[in-house]
Amino acid sequence: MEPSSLELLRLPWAEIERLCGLEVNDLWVGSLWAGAYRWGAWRRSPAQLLLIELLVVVLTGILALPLGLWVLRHLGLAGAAGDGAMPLGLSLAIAMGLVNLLRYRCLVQNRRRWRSLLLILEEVDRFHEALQAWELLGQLQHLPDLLPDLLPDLPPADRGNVATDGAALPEDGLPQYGALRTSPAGLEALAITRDTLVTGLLADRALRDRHRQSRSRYGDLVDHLDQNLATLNALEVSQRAAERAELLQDALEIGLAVRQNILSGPSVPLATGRSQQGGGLL
Amino acid sequence: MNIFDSALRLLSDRPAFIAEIQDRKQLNQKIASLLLSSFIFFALYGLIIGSFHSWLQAISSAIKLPALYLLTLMICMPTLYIFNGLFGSKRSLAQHFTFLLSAAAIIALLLCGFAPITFFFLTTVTAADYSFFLLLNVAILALTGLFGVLFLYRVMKPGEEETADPSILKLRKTILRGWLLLYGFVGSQLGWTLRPFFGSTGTFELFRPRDGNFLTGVGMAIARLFGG
Repeated sequence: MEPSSLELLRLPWAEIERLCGLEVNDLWVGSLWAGAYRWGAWRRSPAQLLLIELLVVVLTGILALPLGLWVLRHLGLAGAAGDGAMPLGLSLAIAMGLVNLLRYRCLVQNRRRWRSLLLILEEVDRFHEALQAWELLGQLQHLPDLLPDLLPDLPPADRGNVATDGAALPEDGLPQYGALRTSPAGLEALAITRDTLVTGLLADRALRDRHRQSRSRYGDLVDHLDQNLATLNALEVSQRAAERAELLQDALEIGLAVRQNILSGPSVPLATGRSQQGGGLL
Repeated sequence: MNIFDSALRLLSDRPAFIAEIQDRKQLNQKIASLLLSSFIFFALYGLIIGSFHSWLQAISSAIKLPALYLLTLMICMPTLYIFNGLFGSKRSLAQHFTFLLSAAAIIALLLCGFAPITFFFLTTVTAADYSFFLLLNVAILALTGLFGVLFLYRVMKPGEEETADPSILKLRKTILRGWLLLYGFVGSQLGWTLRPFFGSTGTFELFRPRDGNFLTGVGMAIARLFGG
């Protein structure tokens, strides 16, 4: 396995950034202030991350110091805090609290929003580890060829033992390195893994972009949801009122028609009946 | 990501680093690295100059010196960005910020270079030599500031490839020079507002009353040094 082939398989940061559309490094995605920490960042380098967090918290406090002083004065606490180090301490605490509260909220939100991307990036890290192991395997494979130069006094049989690290020698006494040989199938598997990761990064970006677009497209609808519901409600009420008005109109027309029939002649059949009955009785 | 990565690259591989900023490569990482490393270097120098008075003054100066440089930068940055944008600059706000932070990091690195000298004088002079120590540090701060400003002018100077109109090119250079003067003026005034950084022989003071300005303060220190 040539190292140059492995280099071609590697996914550099610039390539990952181009694929996912966000700035990426071994600790965070996006930015340190308004991005998200990588899943494995705290596991990989806890001391470094702790130092960075500490510095960021203090630095944001210092840079937001005018804000802290303004809040202190606005709340009327500047005089109550005294003249010594207290106002500075209080202002720093207020500034650090306010700015870092917003920052952590942003970090947590992005961690949720970029969950799939963060998972893919962990897989990219594992892929790079596999590539490193593969490279090491290739170097070990070439070790017996280098041994005569490195250790000219070593007998050939021992060279084989050193190279295969305890692998059994064949009957003819020549060393076999089949266990260490990097096969083309393995290389193909690595290439397929790389393609899958690239597809994953692209798919995640497409989904994020689409989500953003749909949010902006239907944003107006969501923003005016209450207004739209009220309009719909008003339409329904209006329709019901129209139906009732129609019913009342029909009932009125029927009533009028009946009254008309009663007042005008057509009461004959009734009168006839009655007269017939009445006549009969009388 | 290494906190000191960008600062070290500014020392060892400056042209490539500047080219990466021009190409907008890893700007957020550079900003984070430059901000944090500058903060550490400024705080370290602040700690040294503050320890001339007391440990309380040392802590106060370790906070105030980074605040002075980084706040000055943030106060002045919008002016430069908007004026450059008005006259045809295609650089983004993040690029402007990275260039300015690079200049701040250069100043911080130079101050760290002077730190052993300052520390030497700190251990050899007495409290009565306050004016000498003050003027020595004013000279160091001015010299490092000058180098930082020169670096900024060199990297931010508009090139002929940016605009074909020579009058616009000349105007943008004038704007940059004017802005650098403004940067120095704002910095000195903010420094005067945040003083003391060294602490005189009296009791510890967090801030001093707002009277006079930076130049009158330096003038008085010179008069005290030579007039006794």
